[in-house]
Amino acid sequence: MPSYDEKTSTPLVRLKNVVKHFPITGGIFLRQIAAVQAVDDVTLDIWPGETLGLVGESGCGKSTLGRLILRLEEPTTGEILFNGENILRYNKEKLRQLRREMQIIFQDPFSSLNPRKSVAHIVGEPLYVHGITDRREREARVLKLLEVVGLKKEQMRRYPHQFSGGQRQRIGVARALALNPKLIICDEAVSALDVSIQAQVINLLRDLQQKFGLTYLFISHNLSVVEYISDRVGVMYLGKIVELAPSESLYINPIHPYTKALLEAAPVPDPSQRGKRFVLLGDVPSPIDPPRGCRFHTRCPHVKEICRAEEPPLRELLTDHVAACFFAPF
Amino acid sequence: MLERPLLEMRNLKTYFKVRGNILKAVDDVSFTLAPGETLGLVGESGCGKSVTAATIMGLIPIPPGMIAGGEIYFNGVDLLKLPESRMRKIRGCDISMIFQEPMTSLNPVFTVGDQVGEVIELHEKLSRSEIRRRIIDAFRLVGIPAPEKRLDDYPHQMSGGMRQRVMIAMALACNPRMMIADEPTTALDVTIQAQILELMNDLKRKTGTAILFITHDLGVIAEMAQKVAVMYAGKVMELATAADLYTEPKHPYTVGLLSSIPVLGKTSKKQRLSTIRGVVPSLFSLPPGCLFSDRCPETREICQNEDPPMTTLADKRLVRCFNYA
Repeated sequence: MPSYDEKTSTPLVRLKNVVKHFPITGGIFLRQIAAVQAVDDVTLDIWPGETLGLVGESGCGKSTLGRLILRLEEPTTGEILFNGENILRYNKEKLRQLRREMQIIFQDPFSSLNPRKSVAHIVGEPLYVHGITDRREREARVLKLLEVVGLKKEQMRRYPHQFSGGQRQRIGVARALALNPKLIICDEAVSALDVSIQAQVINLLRDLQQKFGLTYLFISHNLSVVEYISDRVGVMYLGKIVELAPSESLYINPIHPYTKALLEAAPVPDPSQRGKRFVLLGDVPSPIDPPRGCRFHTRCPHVKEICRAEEPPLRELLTDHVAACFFAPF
Repeated sequence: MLERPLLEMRNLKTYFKVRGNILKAVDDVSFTLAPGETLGLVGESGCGKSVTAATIMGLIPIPPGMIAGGEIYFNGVDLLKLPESRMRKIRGCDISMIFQEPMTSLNPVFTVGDQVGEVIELHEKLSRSEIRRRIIDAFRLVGIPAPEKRLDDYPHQMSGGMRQRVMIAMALACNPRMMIADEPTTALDVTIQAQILELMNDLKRKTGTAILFITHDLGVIAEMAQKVAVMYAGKVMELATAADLYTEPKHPYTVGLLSSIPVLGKTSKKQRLSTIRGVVPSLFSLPPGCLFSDRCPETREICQNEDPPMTTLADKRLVRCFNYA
């Protein structure tokens, strides 16, 4: 666990007013006619050694945010700093070097591994790309990595289809660890796994974090998994962060009406709690033309005039606990 | 629930012949479903929950599938003995089904109204205007706003939640006695899932339709079901009322499942999540004896050699484990 006195030091990742709009083109000249506002004006720090959870419903921009940090997407505007340096100014070579420092684990362990390559090849590829061209040296490293993630030596020559979903996800973890990164972005990394296997992979991720001092950005729609694994949690809605707080504070004292609704909506394995909840009405509006003012106002039970006209800023309402709402706490 | 069960499944065995192997996808599964009751069928991938549903609907392709034994009584009639022509009348009308993917189970080139109308047209002789009225009623029942307009929408014009409402409207169009819901909310966002679950509970109260609710999500089942059957590798391991199962799970597999999910506001971050060792078994290589024996923390010698019988406990729950035999 990191301590928050570290705030005097530099964050590992700093996003400053990051915006990502995907253009939609149309007409005979393919001019831009609209834009999907996937991420809109997000400012966020990720501190070394912490796990920052990011929750929200589909289309809220949480995956895009992860991809922006990796520079798999270029932001429309804004700055992204890694270890204090603006990575948007990096040239190709520096960017390649940077990629050693940050890795990603994808949701689907079935489609994120090449079915025609052996495990030795899949896990060894990042090593090869980054200059370990001697095969024996590479395979020695691969063996060590497999051991770290709980796979057996003799499985090195096997192909992805010979593994179960949980084991495949372990291969994905081994690949992400290959270059000793500082930051790993886990994009729905346990969502596709069976319940009994999910817990194994979560424990593995936590063990690795302690062992290697990793920093995680843990993106998920599963609120209870995020609560368990994260030190801090950000809640996204239609491209905006609406609430950001230490995990305990967010789950015990949710401030933003959307966070409250999300937590209420999550089904709990306890039949005695049945029916005791408030169900949010309506659908998530389209990010192509998000509502003016507060983006949540179309579904908010506490909506007032100002919410339709102005965008609420993030305000610190409890210690280290910010929320973007004019009237909260309720 | 003293009424006669609407559905009674006795020792159902649905096997598949694959590459010379016999895969026991559903092996000796029995349960009953009373009118107006919701039975939850939970389990991990490959445990046979969807095959059970497909067998009830008569949707198992034969071959490679085969019904190796058992009976499924619906309203006193064994569905497995019915000719296809009669089964077709029951399917979609007396027993209807909702699938996981509202995106792929609707036809993209027809309006949603046409698709719901087709079900009514197939099972009842009604005029066009009467059918239209029935569709509008069905849409209103499932909470689709402005049904007169949405009727002419194509699936892509609707959100995921609305599409799932259309699926439910389609399933309810003929006033079925029983509905099979196979992971109906798995593809939906949490807030939309909450809406759909509330809608289904509401409709059940209004129409008295019995529901067989299939999911891997123990939280969702707790919201919905009165009774829960936990399946593992084709067999039911525990069958109990939801209240009993969640307060005091008995089978080591149920215990393991419930303790491996972090619970909102309850699971301490300091402790490690408890896990079930090993992997979900493949039907190609099941262990001898109890199917869970190779992963069970309480496994004994007998578990590895003999198949445990289903035992009825004092609180009427059924457990397949030597600890209780």
